[in-house]
Amino acid sequence: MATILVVDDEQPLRDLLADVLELDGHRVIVAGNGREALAIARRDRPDLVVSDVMMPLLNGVRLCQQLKADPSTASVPVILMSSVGRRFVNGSGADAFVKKPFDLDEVEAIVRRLLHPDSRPDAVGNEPR
Amino acid sequence: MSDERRDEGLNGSVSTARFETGVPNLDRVLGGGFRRGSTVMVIGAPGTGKTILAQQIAFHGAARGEAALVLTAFSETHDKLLAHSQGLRFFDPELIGETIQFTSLTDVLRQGADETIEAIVATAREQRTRLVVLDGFRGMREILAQQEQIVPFLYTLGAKLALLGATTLIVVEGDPDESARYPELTVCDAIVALRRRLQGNRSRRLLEVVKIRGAAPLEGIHPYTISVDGLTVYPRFESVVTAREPAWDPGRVEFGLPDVDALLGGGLTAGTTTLAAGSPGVGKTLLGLHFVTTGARREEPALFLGFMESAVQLREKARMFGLGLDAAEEAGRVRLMILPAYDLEADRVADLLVRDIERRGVQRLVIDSAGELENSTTSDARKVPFLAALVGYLRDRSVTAYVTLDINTIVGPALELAGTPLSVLAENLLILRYAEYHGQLHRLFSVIKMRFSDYDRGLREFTMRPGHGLELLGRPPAAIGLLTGIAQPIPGPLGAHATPGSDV
Repeated sequence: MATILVVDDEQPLRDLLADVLELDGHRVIVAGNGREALAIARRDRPDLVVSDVMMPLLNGVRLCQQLKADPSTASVPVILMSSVGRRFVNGSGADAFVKKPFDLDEVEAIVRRLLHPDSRPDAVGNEPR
Repeated sequence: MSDERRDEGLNGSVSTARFETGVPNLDRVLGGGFRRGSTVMVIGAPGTGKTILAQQIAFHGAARGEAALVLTAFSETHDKLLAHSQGLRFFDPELIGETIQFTSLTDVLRQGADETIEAIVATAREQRTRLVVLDGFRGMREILAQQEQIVPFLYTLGAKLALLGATTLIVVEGDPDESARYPELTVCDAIVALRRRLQGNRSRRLLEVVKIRGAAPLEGIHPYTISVDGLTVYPRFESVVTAREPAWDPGRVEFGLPDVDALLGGGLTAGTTTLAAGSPGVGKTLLGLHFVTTGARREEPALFLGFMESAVQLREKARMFGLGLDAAEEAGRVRLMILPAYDLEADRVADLLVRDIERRGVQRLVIDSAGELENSTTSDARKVPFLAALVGYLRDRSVTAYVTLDINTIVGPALELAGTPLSVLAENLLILRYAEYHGQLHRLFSVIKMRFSDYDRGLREFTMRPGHGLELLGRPPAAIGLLTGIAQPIPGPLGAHATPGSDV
């Protein structure tokens, strides 16, 4: 069981994603903006972060950059999700990018791949780097 | 893009600089645009285009490097909002994320008004935002209302964002005519109301600047349209025309038909409006085509605004009578502007006219016909002010206008001119009509009035000859009641000897 931090300012989407990942057997913690997520990540050290891009206070790109710049969270894989194109997330340091609206199976597959990098790649995410 | 002379938001002073909305004609209606740092409310019923307007403004600024923050709450998610906007031409996905951020306030709103303000201000500050849009404020206000926080919330938020140099644009679904229900209107520096009104089967979109501090907006209701380009506002024509007394121009503007010009004392007086009333098919449009093509030959740019005949039909007519319209159009001296005769909006027609007149320096204008122009005003009460403004504008610009008017009857005793304000407003009045005499139809031409010129008061018969156009034939048969359309011979030897087309 992994601990996954789900970050999105849209509560319905955040709840949906949390439900799906919990059904997959993960422990899910949530945040509604980048600033809150950064604090939680530093405190709880999740195994994976799945974050929206456009959020109040701190957007997903900056959240990702700050996580990767902090030695205590640098190794945590980050999936960014957004309805905007990938150009904006280039340079964020994210490990995968998912375009909204997304297929939940695709997100689950990317989560599995990032949590278990040695396992068979059964899905391909849009890697921004 | 903006007047930055006193754009001093960050040091705490109140900015007087204005920013362009990018919405065609809106800045003009606002009296120069919104003041930077102001709190602006756009209020209207569902489907009036509030969100499109806000996004149009945000994308216009973002395209010029001014960051915008679009905040949604309980109306639609920002993902849906983005998906719905992608068909709009101003929508540039490259700007999303970088210069325009779409975020949701649903979480922070639950934490309280102060927390929401803090989150918005911190985000705006971090992103150096120049425009903050609160879209779907109705959802936000329901939460804030429970805390009786609406007015303090907007007041504090607007003040803090103004200090950052950011303008706050609040989009709220509501009835602008029930202002008592919206106490927050008092804290807004500008209020723009968007309305939809049913007129028969037709839905009209109307914009009103209810309030704007420190500016002189154009008064009244201004129609607007929504297309893939977003909103386009058409200022109420009467509110943009300035009453000036133009210099007197003693010049004549000829039809290029020597006999007709001679009747007019040398041509139409320059800068005047002429109403040519007559039966359908009698030749009013043809005379209008003479007017514009003669103008083209004299290097006087001309515009033909038509509603009923297509450009193809007009060109064919001009070819049949050898008027040289094709060459005039090719040379850019004549423009045919054909608008559908239905769903016309007077201010849009006026806007199109004004733009072409000013862009090409139009000196001759034909409007074919006055009926459609009058119907475009959508109310009888507006006909006189609108047409008076138009005639005044044309006079001011020294545009000589020829306007046709259909008299409903082909042959008959009625001369139905009283219904049109143009019969009074126009300086000159011509009648072209059929008259029945001894079992034959005759075309008659007469000058009824020329306000600033002597003219020939006699009736003339005319014909339309292929390859030549309109030709005066001479005086009509001596008869009583020719202008009524049904002539009676004059009793006695004078009448007995008169023949059609001969001089009496």
